[in-house]
Amino acid sequence: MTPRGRGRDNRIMGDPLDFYLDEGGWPYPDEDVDGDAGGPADLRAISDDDLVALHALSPHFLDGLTEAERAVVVARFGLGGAEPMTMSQVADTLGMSPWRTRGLLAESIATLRSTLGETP
Amino acid sequence: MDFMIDQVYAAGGDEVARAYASPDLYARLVGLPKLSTPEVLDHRVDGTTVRLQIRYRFVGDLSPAVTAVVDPAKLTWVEHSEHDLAARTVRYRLAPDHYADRLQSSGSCAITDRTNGGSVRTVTGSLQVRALIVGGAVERAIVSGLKEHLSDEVALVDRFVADHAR
Repeated sequence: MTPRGRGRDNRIMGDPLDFYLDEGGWPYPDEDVDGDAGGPADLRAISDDDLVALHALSPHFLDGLTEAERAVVVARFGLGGAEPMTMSQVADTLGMSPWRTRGLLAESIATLRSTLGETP
Repeated sequence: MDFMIDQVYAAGGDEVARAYASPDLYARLVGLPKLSTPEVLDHRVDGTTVRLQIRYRFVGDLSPAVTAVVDPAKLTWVEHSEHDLAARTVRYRLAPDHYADRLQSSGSCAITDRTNGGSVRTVTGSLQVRALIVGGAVERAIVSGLKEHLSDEVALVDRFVADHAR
């Protein structure tokens, strides 16, 4: 799936979790190739803000996650200082199936939202 | 998140509809909770249709986790509303001054007379804040603040109507 020119408005105003569960979405493949950021500028800005939020809230904020959930979140969003990974890269790196990786990420975000008192 | 808020007025439906279409009302909405005093930016009348643009600022409480990533000073928006005085309805949408790709809201208001006098203004709408972790918390804070604000607004609108009836 490519983020360009398809379902853009839904990506912006739908549940942001769907954006991050998309295996072909963020981070965009050409983001580091020539120094130019890939993907639509508005989606880049939103993902940048989400990263700022996660960095601001971690690591203490991640305490409520299981070890596997924390590993997925850290890898997906680059919270350990590394570059963020695509969902496929996270699955390969952690030796998990794509299905389990998606499930763990979804569970993690639900837990983090719940920590903020948000209804899932 | 979707919301529906009822405001119950002593004043009749036509008077309440006209009050909300009057730019003079908004300068009277001082000291209400959660939202700053509204600032009327534009006012146009076309027969029984009135269009208003009004800037609001959210001044309610946000948790430290939210303010770590959302600047409360940037939670401002312009409400674009179209008042149909004949139908006593209003359609509105919010245009955020900041976080334009992240905050979206629109809805409508309808005013009906009560059988025992007075009127009810029902505000319905949806608000979406697009942020992975804190979006829901911001939505709840704004809608909660809006409910409190609209509840306290009723007395000031009734007073405005009474003053203009003299």
